[in-house]
Amino acid sequence: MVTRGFFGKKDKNDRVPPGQYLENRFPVLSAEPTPKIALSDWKLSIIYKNEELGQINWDTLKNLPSTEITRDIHCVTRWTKFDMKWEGVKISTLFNELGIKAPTNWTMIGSFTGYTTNLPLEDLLIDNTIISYLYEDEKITPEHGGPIRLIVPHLYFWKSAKWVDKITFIDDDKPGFWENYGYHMYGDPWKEQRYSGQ
Amino acid sequence: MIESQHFNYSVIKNKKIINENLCWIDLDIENWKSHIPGQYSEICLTAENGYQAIRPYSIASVPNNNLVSFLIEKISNGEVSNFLYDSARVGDIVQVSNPIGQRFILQNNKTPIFIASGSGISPFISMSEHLNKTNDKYYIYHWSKNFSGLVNYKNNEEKINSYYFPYITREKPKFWMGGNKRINPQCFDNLCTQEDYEIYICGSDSFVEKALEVTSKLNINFDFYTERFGS
Repeated sequence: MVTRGFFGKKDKNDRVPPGQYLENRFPVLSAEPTPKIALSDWKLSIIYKNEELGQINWDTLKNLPSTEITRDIHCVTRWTKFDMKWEGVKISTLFNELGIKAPTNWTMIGSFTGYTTNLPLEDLLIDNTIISYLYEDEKITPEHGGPIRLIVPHLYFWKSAKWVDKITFIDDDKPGFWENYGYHMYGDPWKEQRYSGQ
Repeated sequence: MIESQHFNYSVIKNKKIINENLCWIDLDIENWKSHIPGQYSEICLTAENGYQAIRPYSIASVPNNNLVSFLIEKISNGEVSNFLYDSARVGDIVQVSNPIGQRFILQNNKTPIFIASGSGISPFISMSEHLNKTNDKYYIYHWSKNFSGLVNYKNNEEKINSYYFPYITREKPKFWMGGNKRINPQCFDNLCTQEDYEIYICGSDSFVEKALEVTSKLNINFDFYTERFGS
């Protein structure tokens, strides 16, 4: 049903997924306080069954081949921002460097703050998923997940964990932080997978 | 188009302009079952060409009310908020989602402390009114630029078992005897160090971040829950 007097500010844009709106700013949304992490203190651990399969720190990460991606980002709170440019290292490159062979098909991404989110391995290993340290050629600011965050541009942005410090292989898919509160287990913006049951 | 089972038609039954930025609307929502204090709904507007704009708003009314209320803040370049403030009339129809959110809700385990800036008071109106029914203790700290933004000031004047601390940071009326400082640790001097609390914070990102910084330095035990406006 049409809302009387509402004409909308924008024409339909095929790059904007259903239910989203185009945003020019970069909103900050986090459940937890913003931690201040020095690059020299940052490290990422790869874990399976409580055993550390590998670990990487900033000095190693910065010397790995980097990838630049420019992608539209979609947040479950309904904003979409076009052409966000990120630079970092593909997870596949990282795993090769550490000699890691994935023991399962599911992962739980963890953050310095205790935040978690689940990701299928195939989504973690595709070329556009990166561990990112630059946004628009600048260091990523703490409120946006800096110094280092995950970027998974094809899923809702809650999957792109800020302040990432762990990738844990899990035997079966299980919910992370927001998924436990009813968010969708996968989160495809083009299918509007916002909440469980959708 | 959005899924019909997720959104319900509703009629604007009342609309009150509070000040140059805020208005209050009461909606009669079809098939509305109820909500948990702290939850939000999404309001959807549809243009003739099929374009839809959807934005989330905290529910300000108590559960099981006949009407469901929202506090709307007009913002720069706002699409849904500005339409609701400027153009919507009593009798208009909008779509409203079922209530959403399982985290920023009343936990009912410890004494709640509600900390809000501006229209961030909205979920706390629902939560505090709900607690008033059982006379449970709670604290509300509300920072506003002006007196009219203290939208539930009158409601809180007469409560027996709750503690209300309003602060005005810019346009203070001559009669104002309440707080006038920005959030800082001294604002919370009245809290008891022996008690366990649940701290709920709602406001702009910068306010929430500051409130977390301040409360983390207090000598009290608490769990915290935050709701931020993107900024």
